[in-house]
Amino acid sequence: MSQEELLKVEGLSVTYYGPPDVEAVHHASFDIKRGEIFGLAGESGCGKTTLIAALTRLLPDNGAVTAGSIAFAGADWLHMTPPEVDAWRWQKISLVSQSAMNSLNPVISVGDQIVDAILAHRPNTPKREAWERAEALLRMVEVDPKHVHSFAHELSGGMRQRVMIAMALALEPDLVVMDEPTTALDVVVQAQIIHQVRSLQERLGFSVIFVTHDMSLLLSIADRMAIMYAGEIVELGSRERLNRHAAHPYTRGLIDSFPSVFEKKSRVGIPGAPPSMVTPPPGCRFHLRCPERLSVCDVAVPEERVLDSGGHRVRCHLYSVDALRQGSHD
Amino acid sequence: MLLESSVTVQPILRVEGLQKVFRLKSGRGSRQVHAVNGVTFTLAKGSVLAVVGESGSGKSTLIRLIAHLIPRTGGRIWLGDEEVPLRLGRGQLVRYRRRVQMIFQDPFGALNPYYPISYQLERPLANLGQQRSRLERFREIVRVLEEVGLAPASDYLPKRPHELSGGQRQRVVIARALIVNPQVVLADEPTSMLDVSIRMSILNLLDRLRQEHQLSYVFVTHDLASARYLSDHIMVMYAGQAVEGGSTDAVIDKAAHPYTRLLISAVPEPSREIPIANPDVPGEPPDLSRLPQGCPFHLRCPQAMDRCRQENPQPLSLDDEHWVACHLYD
Ligand SMILES: Nc1ncnc2c1ncn2[C@@H]1O[C@H](COP(=O)(O)OP(=O)(O)O)[C@@H](O)[C@H]1O
Ligand SMILES: Nc1ncnc2c1ncn2[C@@H]1O[C@H](COP(=O)(O)OP(=O)(O)O)[C@@H](O)[C@H]1O
Ligand code: SF4
Ligand SMILES: [Mg+2]
Ligand SMILES: [Mg+2]
Repeated sequence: MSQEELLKVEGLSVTYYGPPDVEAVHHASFDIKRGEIFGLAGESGCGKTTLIAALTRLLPDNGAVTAGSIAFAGADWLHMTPPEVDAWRWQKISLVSQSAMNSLNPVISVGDQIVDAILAHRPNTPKREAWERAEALLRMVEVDPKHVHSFAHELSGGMRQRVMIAMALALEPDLVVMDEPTTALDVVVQAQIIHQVRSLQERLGFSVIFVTHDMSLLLSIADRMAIMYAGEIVELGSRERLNRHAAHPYTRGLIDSFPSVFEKKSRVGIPGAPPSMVTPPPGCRFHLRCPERLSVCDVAVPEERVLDSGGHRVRCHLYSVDALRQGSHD
Repeated sequence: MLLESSVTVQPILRVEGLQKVFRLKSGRGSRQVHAVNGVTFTLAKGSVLAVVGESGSGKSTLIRLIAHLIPRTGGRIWLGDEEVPLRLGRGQLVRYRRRVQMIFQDPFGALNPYYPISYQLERPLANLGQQRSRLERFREIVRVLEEVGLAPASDYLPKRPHELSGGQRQRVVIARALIVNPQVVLADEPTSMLDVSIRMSILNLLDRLRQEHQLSYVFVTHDLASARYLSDHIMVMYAGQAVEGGSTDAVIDKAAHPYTRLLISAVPEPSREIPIANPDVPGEPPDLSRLPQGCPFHLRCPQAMDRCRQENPQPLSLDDEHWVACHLYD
């Protein structure tokens, strides 16, 4: 895998205007390398969809980026004009959302939708060729090409999600963002689709941002991953690091929230419930639920610390020298 | 039958050849959906039977039949040593509900949004309970609420469902099931709609309550890992049929049915060498209104033989604690 950077997010914050106003993403920084699967995990409401809506320039009208920057394929992505963004959509960046049912047009055949996307960006393509391409795309995701004439409701959930992936790949983008693409599917179909995505990615070389609340899934497929809690990235690192040396108590709790099929070991998950995003807790946003909290955690926002040369970072007072010297457990 | 002889402990619930056919009018004709096809199992007192399978395999229908929420098309049910008739009169139904309670998947849908928690718990007591006075009932409500971790009860009694978190609502639903002191609890995916971080606390709560009250559960889940965590027996369903069953350890560590093996290989498991195997089994489960002849899995089974296309395999004992319905073992 090349380590060339495709996307770099720095200090990104996103607010939805209310009332009440909600800052759904706070100061997020990370980068995506070419050809990698980058995972984004966290429980529902922590800001995953908001973060990728900002990345794909698809925030709803009441949402806005209030701070930070996104460099994408060398461009200042947040300052590109809407027509420029439209020109890049599908060609450089595409989105597979959780509900294919809501993203596919119910009254237009699958083939027509793919062909429309192709012709919108490559108007000189002969119609015949666009249709052949649509069939080839379906074949690529192992959907019988006869389904170019099918409508969304005629397909199973797994097939619809494959069609969405085919569409997302139609114009050979550099980055495919997948928001819980398999959450609504059964495990067997999920495994089929994961393997499909992997083999296509190896062949075509695109990068993937894979969003899910399923920590064991992410630890199974991502090259690197970021863990979000209450709008913030609290930890980021390679799969190997997070699998063996998860540093943030939230990450550890999240991993502990998924029992294993192969061993019966008692687990506790995480006490309490996720906080309100309208008034996030002071200090470390996780302190109210944290089993390892120090007295400093209630009042001071933890700085981000780098833990190794591979870019493993964590936002937690347990790793700050000052806190270790001064702080004591309550 | 072999499936019964394996359980030497006192059975609390036994079903034999349970069957449900839904008749659907479609256009001119009508379709028959074979949602549950001859399911047989025994639930031992104080134990947990997990029913696992993909969506549409008939899990919810199975326990709705047992709960007497829908009438069965065929088969027999025993509770303790009494056979439960096909139709229950009003008084019989009250007595049945006192002994068999259900926990639903969606804790929000299961509670009446207009009434406070106190009312939601008083109703089953008034309808099914044996407490005479309001004071007795009130004491019972407080006791059960605190038992499910909603303490002090006075904080929760006046609240309405929307004022509680998802996890708290599911605790109320559990309290409501327990308040009539049932013997059998039928739980339909009780954690699948909850935030991931609080699922373990609900599983742990169910486990503790089972031990403290000698409860017996039929625990329906699509998640094999939760099944491993909570159950001592597992029954795997495919297309309305039970295809494998036995002690939890045997079914997972020595999975015999090709479908069970497929399910296990598809579960994300970071500790495995291949965290998600590439399912070399194509396709998806069959349409229940057009079940294939023979084994329901034969169209997808990598090991299918001629016989599998003709004859539906009968359950066969592998050892005391383990049975399978597959011609490979004949
Ligand atoms: N369109 C919107 N307007 C206002 N608030 C929103 C909107 N979309 C999401 N939110 C809020 O932003 C927060 C993050 O939501 P979201 O990004 O969807 O989280 P996730 O994808 O991790 O579940 C939540 O508190 C949610 O209620
Ligand atoms: N009330 C109903 N009318 C018609 N078909 C139904 C009804 N309830 C369930 N089914 C069908 O029965 C099958 C089994 O469904 P269900 O028991 O809900 O499976 P599971 O809980 O395993 O997902 C599905 O094909 C479903 O569509
Ligand atoms: S009976 Fe035949 S088709 Fe069915 S699972 Fe066994 S081997 Fe496969
Ligand atoms: Mg989301
Ligand atoms: Mg169900």
